[in-house]
Parts: sequence; structure tokens; C-alpha cells
Amino acid sequence: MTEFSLDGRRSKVRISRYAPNMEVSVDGQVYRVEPLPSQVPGSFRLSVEGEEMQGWCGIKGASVYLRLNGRTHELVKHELRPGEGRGAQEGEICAELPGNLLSIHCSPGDKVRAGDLLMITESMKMEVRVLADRDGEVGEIFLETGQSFDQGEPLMRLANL
Amino acid sequence: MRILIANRGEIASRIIRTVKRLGMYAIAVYHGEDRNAPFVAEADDALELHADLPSAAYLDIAQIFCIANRTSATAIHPGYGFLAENPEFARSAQASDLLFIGPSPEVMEVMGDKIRARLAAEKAGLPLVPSVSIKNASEATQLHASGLAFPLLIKAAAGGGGRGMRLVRGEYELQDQLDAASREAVRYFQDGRVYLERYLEDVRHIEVQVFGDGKGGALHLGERDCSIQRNYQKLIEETPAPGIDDTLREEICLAALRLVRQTNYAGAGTIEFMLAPDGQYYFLEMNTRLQVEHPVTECVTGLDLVELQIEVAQSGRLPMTQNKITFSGHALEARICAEDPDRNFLPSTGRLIRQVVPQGERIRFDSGVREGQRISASFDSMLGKLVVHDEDRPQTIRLAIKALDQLVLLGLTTNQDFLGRVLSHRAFQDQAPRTNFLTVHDAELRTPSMGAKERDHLLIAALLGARDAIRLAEVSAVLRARLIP
Repeated sequence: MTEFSLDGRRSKVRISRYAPNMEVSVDGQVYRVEPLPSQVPGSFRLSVEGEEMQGWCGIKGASVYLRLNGRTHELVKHELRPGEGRGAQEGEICAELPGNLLSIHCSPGDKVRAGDLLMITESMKMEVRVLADRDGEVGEIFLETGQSFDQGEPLMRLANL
Repeated sequence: MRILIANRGEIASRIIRTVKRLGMYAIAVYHGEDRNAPFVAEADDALELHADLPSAAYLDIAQIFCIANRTSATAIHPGYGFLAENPEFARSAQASDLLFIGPSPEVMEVMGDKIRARLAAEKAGLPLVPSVSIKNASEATQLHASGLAFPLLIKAAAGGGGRGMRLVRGEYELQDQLDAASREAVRYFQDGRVYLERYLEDVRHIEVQVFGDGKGGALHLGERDCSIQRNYQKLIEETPAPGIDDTLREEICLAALRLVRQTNYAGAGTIEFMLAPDGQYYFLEMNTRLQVEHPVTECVTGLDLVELQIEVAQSGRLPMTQNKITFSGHALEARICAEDPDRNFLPSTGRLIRQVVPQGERIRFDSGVREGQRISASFDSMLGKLVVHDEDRPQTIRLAIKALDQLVLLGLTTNQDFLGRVLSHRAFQDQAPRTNFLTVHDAELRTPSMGAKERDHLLIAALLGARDAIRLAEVSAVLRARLIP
């Protein structure tokens, strides 16, 4: 969860869902967001509720500089401390390193035991076998094979039995 | 020729560009705070100036000549501001046998003294705003005799460029304002002489680019309209001046030529006029240097004014006749400054983390800064100049708006979006602006507030954009680390 100051007001923003479609929540308001490929480093392309936008972003310390729709803005980023309501939900298995999902070896609804193979990912050119760290029931799998993920990003849900 | 550029920032870069294009050797001088500025690396050689106050470094005549000596410079280009109109500097160049790319110290002295400049203009038959020199209010009777009525403007003889002026609304405050003006003049210009001028409202600022050969030969390169000003600081300049008929244009340019001939002016200069709503024009002042806004003239004439300056200085001749100078299309320049329009244009500082310059055949961006450079309050707040050139004024304005939109400057607040609002304003597009344009339309030019949806979109972009930016920064850091031998 990130809090931004913009124009004298603070807002809480977080990615509330990664797959099958990304959703971003802004002060509770949920938007369907699709990051689009951008040719130029430093520039980004996004689709928000189907509306495409393109702009530029740079960060300097806690400031985020953004140019969008012909206007330049400066936002101040306040990272909320872990537990203060941001990154992994309870029961989610998150990536330890950024990488790509190579293969999925379970399905939602499966009952698995600690040590069972759930997924194989690739990070830093190394294959990583993602194993269940406890007994549980496989819930939603957030990514499709071939998709990339960030460090700390939730990969799937493993509910406790 | 080995030319030492006694200046900094965008104009130093711009001069160096031509010097090198001509196959000559460019020597830069810089204060430590400017060490990462592009002009330092662009020069063939660059030597550091030392001073406690960074801006003072560029005014240190002795140091600059020392460097000229060490680098075997054969010429000096003073740029604009700093020592460009300093007669002592020009004289020292002559004494050191260095070619000074500019006019003679004598004409600098005349034009630097606004009272003497007026006399020279009068002698050349230029229309002048009625004025009188009085020392105190008891001489107020002279005002009526000179055809002056309140409100009046008190100007410092050694001032200029909009500095050292005070408005007097009535005889009741004449003495106080005269005293204050004189005190200020002593403080800022070391010369307390002041004079009074009729205050003209609702005027336009029209100036003429001229060249002289020092022997009475003169050329004009057309006029520029610089009416968009804030506190007498120009922000947007264009050529040709909108809505002026050819007869008046010709008349103003010919008047400018008369002054050049009259003073045997050498090199590039600009003669500034005020144009009143009734079509009457008046001499304001003459600037004995290249001006910030010279690129718009370069666009419509196809000439390189720095090259012309060098050629005239070297040969003592004007390289072409007036009839060889042609004008094509319309050009406009917007000065991009590190200022916050929402905080009364307070200068902003910070490290420029991203600079993306609009590209295009008809677009020119003279930047004085590079990505990663720390912008401080030590110098003038101008970061660069956006110059566009198109067939007519409407297309030029459209192109300027588009180019401003594409310009990306991240890391500190700039007036970029404010300039876009000025150019997009109906009054700017439909009418020839007056010098009070920004005051009159102040409320409409404020930063518009954001709608809820726009705000949310921004926040989403900030979250995702920041993630990517962080990732990119980490990747670059890793790559940079690998590159260190």
C-alpha cells in the first residue's frame, strides 16, 4: 500500500489484484488497469478502465514526478510499513525475487502437503521450484505461465486447511 | 580563431555550437557549480573560474583575461548579460589585443546610460517618449512644460531591462518616489541619476534586430514582438509582430537603421520600441549585445546570428546587403524557467532527473541543462528556450503548444505548463498581446484544479510508474556498477 500526497491531499493506492486482470484501488475506488508496453525508458503506457494514457515518470527520493496529459505533477510517496496494510494478504505465496512464471503444477481446489511442488519460476536465470510451505488448499493462481512478476508480488493463494 | 565564451548555460552552448561549426576553437569558462552543465563538455577546452558567489565568477574580468592568456584565445564572445555590455570588459579586450565580438566600448557607454541613449536616438530622428530630468519635486513645473502629466515613470539613467523603475501617480508622492528611486539607483547601478518619462499603458514591445559594420553601414533583420512579459522579464517572443502593417514595420526598422548609422555601431544589437495603441512608436532603449530571443530571427531569416557576429567582428564588413535578407514564415520562442507559477513564480531548484526534448524539423530547443544536473538558485532561472517555426502565426502557435506538451522536465517545477496556457488563451491567439497581458489575464492563467477522475488516474500512474522507475533505476545502477573498470 502506498500513500501519496498530491495537491495537498493524501490518497491510498494499491494494486488490489494482479490476475487475471490488474486492479488498482485508489482510496477504495477500484479501477481495472492494464499496463501496456512502452518503447521508451522512463515513459509508461497504461489503460485505465479502457482509457489509454501515456506519460513520463521519474522518482527522486520520496518524490514522484509525473507528466501526464500535458501537465507535470510532483507527488510525495509515503510507503506504509509492512503490516500497515499493504503487499501480501494472508495465505498468499509471494515471489522472493522478480522473475517469470515457467509452469504451474497445481490447480485451484487441490489439497496439498508441505513440500509439494506448486510452480516453477525463473529468477536471475535460475529455475526456482516454489513449494508449499504448509498443508493447505490451493486457491486462486494470479498469474499465467509466461507472465513476469515483481519481488514480493503475490503468486497464488494457499488457504489453510 | 580561438574564441573564449565569457558566459554560461544555454547561450554558451549555443555560441559554442556555431564556433565549432565554423571550424574554430571554443574555450569555455565555468564556475564549479556549473561543472556538469552541457556547455562545459561541449567546448574544446574549459577552465574553471573561482569565486565565492557563483554568479560573480562570470563577472571577474581579471580571471577571464588570465584564462584567455593561458589558452591563447584570440577573441572573446560575451554572450548576453554578465559582461556583455560592460565597457571596461570591451576595453580590456582591446588592450589585450583580443578581438571583442561586440560593439565598441564607447557606444556601450552611450547606450548603457539611458539619458545619453535617448539623446542619441533623438539625434537620429527617432520618436521618443516625452521625458524630463529633474532632481527634485520643486522642479515639477518643468513637467508641465515638457508636456508630461501623471502618472509618470521614474527611470534610472544607469538602469535598463525593466530594472530601476518606479511609477509616480501624482505630485503628492513625487519627492518620495524620486528619493527612493535615486537611492535604489545608487545601490543597484552605482549611479543615482534618474529621469521621468510619460507612462504609457497598453503598449506593445517591438524590437528590431540590427547589425552594423562600425563605419556607418547597417542592416536590419526584422522586428520581434516581446510583449508577453512578467515584471519586465520576457517570456514569449515572436516574429513577425502580429497585426502590424508593412508600412509601420518598414518605418520602425528604418528608424532602427538610422540609429545604427548615427552611432557607427558595430556588430549585433537590438533597438527596443514601445508601440502605443494609436500606432505611435517610441524609442525605449538599445541593447548592445545578442539577445536571448535571437533564435526567432534566425528561424525566419535562415541566418546564424552568432556566425554573423563573428564575421562582422573579423572582417569589419557586413557580409550581405539589405536586399539579400529575406523573411519566411512565423517563429515563436517560449522561455522555459525553473519557476513555480503557483507560488508567484518563485524560483525552483532541484536535480533534473529527466529531460526529453521535443523533436521535429520546425522545432528547436536550446537547452542549458542536462539530465542529472543540479539546478540551484545561483543563476538566472531559465533552463532553455523552445523555438518553433511554421508558415503563419496560428500554425506556429499550434506547433508551440504541441512541442510544449512533448517537452518533459522532471525533478523541479517549471513554467512549462503555464506557457502552454498562455499560448492556448484566446486573447493571445486572436489579438496582438500587450505588455500587460499576463496581469490582465492572471486569473485565467492559473493552474486549473483537477477533477476526481484525473486525480485518480494520476495516482494510478504514479504507483505503477514509480514501480517501473525504481526497477529501471536499479537496473541502471547494476549496469553502471558493471561498467566501472
